[in-house]
Amino acid sequence: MSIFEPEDTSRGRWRLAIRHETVLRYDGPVRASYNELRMTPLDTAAQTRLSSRVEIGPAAQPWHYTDYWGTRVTSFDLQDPHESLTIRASSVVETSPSAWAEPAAAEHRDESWDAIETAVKSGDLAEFTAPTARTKLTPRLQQELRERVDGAGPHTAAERICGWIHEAMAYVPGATGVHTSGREAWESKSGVCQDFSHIAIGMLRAAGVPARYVSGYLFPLKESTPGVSCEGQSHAWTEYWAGDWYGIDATNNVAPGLRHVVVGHGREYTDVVPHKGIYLGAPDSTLTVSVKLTRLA
Amino acid sequence: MADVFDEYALGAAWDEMFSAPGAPRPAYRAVRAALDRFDPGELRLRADQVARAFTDRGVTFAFDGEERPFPLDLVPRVIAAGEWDLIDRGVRQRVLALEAFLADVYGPANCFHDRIVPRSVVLTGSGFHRAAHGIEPTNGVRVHVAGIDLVRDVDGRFRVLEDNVRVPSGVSYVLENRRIMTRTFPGLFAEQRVRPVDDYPVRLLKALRAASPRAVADPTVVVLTPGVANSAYFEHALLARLMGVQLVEGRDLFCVGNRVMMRTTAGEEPVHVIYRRIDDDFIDPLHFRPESVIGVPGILNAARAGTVAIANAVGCGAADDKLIYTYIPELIRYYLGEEPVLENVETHRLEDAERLEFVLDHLADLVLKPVDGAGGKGIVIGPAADERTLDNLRVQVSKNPRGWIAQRPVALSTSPTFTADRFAPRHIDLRPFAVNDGERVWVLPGGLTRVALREGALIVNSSQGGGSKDTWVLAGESAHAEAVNPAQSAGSDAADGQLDPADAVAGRLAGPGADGLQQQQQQQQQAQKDC
Amino acid sequence: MLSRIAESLFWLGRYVERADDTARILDAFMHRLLDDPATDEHAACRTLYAILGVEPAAAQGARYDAVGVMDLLGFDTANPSAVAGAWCAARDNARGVSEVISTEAWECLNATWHALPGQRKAAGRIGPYAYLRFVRERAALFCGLADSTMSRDDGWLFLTIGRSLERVDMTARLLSAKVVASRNAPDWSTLLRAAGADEPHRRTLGWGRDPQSAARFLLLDQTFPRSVIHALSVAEQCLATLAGGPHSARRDVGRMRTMLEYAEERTFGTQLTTYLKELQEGCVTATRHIADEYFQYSAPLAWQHRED
Repeated sequence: MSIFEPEDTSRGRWRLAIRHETVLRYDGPVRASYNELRMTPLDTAAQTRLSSRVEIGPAAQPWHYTDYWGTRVTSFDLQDPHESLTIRASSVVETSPSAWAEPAAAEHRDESWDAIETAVKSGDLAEFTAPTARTKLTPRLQQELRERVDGAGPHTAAERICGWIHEAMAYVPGATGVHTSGREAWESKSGVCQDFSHIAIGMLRAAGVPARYVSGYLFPLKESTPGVSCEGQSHAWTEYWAGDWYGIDATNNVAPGLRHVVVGHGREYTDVVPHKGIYLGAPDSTLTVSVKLTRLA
Repeated sequence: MADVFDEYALGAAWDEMFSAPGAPRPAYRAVRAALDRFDPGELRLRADQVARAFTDRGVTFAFDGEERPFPLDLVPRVIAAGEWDLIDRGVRQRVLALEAFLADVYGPANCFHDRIVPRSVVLTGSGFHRAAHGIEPTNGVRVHVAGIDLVRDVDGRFRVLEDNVRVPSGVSYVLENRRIMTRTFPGLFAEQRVRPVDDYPVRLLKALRAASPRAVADPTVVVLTPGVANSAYFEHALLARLMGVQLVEGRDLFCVGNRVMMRTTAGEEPVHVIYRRIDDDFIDPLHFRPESVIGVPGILNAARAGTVAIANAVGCGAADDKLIYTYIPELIRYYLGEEPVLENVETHRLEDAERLEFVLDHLADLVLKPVDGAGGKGIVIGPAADERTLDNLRVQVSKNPRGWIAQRPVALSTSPTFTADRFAPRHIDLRPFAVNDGERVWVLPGGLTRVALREGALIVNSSQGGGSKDTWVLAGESAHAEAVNPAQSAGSDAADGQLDPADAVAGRLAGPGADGLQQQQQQQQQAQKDC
Repeated sequence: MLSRIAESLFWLGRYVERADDTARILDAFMHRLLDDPATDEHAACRTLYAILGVEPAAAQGARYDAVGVMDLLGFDTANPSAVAGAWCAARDNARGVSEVISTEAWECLNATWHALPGQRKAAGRIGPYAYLRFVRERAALFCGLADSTMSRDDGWLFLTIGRSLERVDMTARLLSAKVVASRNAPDWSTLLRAAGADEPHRRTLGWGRDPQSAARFLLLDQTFPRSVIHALSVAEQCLATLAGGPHSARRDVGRMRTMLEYAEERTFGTQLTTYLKELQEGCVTATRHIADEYFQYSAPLAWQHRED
């Protein structure tokens, strides 16, 4: 089955509630802590943000702005000594089915490199065509890739890449860290969604298709009814440009749809880090993350 | 008595003082006549005096961990009023175009839509900072201070060699050179009307105050320095002193709730305008290098929130990339609807395959520059390079065409320079400084003339054995009118006088050390444009 | 005033005073070492090291001599307890605050720093006196320039507090050497000369032979500017003028001053050791309190960075 066959053909929207809690316990007192969060879902045509809230403990005054990539950022600082930091980001969004659920979508599947070539030549997509530290491929892998996508149109190439990664890589939580590159993960044949996305980006770019990293959330159950709650997680997948942006989720070998909540885009992970911060004090800490997703409608 | 100009041999380059052997240009007649009165011994004595004065005042730059005076040559560089008018207009025009370009790049991006500059050129430049996107300067100014490097071609025409809009340095030498020259050669100034340079700190302070967040009636301005170990520390201290503002280090400041405060003996005090002499990469460890201890975490978001102005703005490097340089004439036409007053040096962009091939075939006739190199680093002058250097260069350029530009070699003009016992021609350039307060761009009449002290050398940077000259802009006829009615002065802005201006008893206690900081204070100067 | 700058000025004051005082002490000792062949050179040098809190890294059983003393306490630029080292430290502190002190005062520090290597070379030919005198004169020039060219603002106050506390500490060290290790200590007149007090002492007290009179003079004379009580009074006034702060440093200094002021004539001699100890400890405490109250800033050694 093609990944472009939508999981849900109802064409209805879902309403999802997300509760993302991060607790950092430092190994000693910490002060002068400066933080940025990228945890608020985007508000776009395909996804409506109904509400969002960020709570911080110890109490801090959060401030918001929209960054270069269009992601909503929450920033805050904590001056007084503290030994733990709790961040609770809650939101309610409405998601749309995959673009391919539209009956008219078949037209878009016209395989054309022309639009891509023109756009790449203009330089407008330069950020999404150049390899980055985490998305760079080895020459050998590039060669292998060329053989696999040779002669295919951009959508087909994307589909093959998605399937290939899904097949070759094992999803192993904890196998890699936030600083692992796609290349390292590929060599170890295991990783998490971040690695799957980095490899997909690297391959798409190597195949001549502009590609970007997507950070967000995934509702894990394929079959569900309104009212169902479950443990979910932060998720990452990939979008490629072929006249417009299209998604692939190499971790699950699907085109993102109702179950995917978009937080932001970037060239790679570093552009949409969910939480980054610097502080003075104990270098080590223990991190606990829980993401709870509830399908409201 | 031997005439100190006797053996002065003119080369192929334009000479600033002589149009022909023994025939000084009009602007230099008085200087030439005055210098003739000295014998070599007297000149040497004065040269020593100058060096001594610089050392005592601490007018030094750090080189290889040593403090060295930046050598000041005894012969001033003289620019006639008419010529200066051209430079003044050209620099102002250039700065306005650079400002417009930056506002566009970090805003509506019209120049990309209109296909004036390919977006990829900006997106792939190392000076373009996405983190600076969305920071709106209060008075629209990002380039509060610019240094535009000019050279004079064989035909006598001034051309722009590069733009410096990140952290341009060197203005302290302009101020100090003048101070020392008036003391060393009081007589020289008597016969000339040389335009003063000491307005600079007042103009700078005015521009910085104008950049302050609107709600603040009496803004607190500070100069932010990497610290004493930085090569330009003297300049930071001098500017702070002359403006009468605090010279702070990163550790003196901290952000709380998007406000920048400084730690004083009387508690915390808010800061509104930061004239920073720290590179973008080091200024905010939250957004840039996390290991920076000379920056201030949170400062970028404070600027974004509009509670503090950073001068120059973060991300100005998007405009002084050497590849962007090649587009500036186009950008002047696009944004200002004017023809460039000062031309570029003919430059090849290497992204085009044919052009690249041409350049690779002609490396020996061209000057190759890394697009984000500073301080003359990495430049290869083809005609002067050996085979191995060129081969090496060929490999590097083919590997990364975006990283290089190629220029026609310009035989920088020469000026008589004192060498032990007589005057000899040495190559020079000129860096005029412009200050933008949002209402007008003011160009300091003079600027820094740098001189390559080694015979035949074309690289004038201090880190490569350069020195400097006092730069005299002669007052024209209009300067008289100016004093009476500044509004009528044609194209020049002289001061109008209206500027608002161990604890055991046996052990000894020791003061604070700089250990950890010193390394970064020095380190960041590597990246900084030196002079 | 920026806390960092206040701290630098405080130490600038201390280091210039330290260079000056150390030069005076060396001068007095050198005279005795070189001019009096009866002196036990090793013992005298050991006393000197003890006074200045320096422990020479000499092999066991090695004998100390005047040349070693000058190298270690005079010329060593890395040791802030040496004359040259203190001057370098002063100049380093001044560099960081050169926009706050006057240009002339800065140039004095800087030009002296540049001249030190040459002076040291000269000392190799003509003996250490000219070198020590040069430093004393430059220190006097600096103080004079600071006095006459700096506004009496907080910066000035911190500079003066630093200078005064250093003076108290140095004089107390000098006296305790005499009191504790009297056998190898210099005679009283050397000691007075080292403190720059021989002539004022003679003028005030005549040719009195009472050895205690010297100690009394160095500690208690209200009119002599290098006496401990005078320095304490100056520091106390400056601390009182400074705005803000819970004034614990002022209390420390005031306590030392009153201790001396109300010292009992009868028991002065027997209490002397206690007084000197209290003075040295008091200087340490006061310095700590000043740092706590006014120098509250810190250089982050490293920001901890995380992404999750």
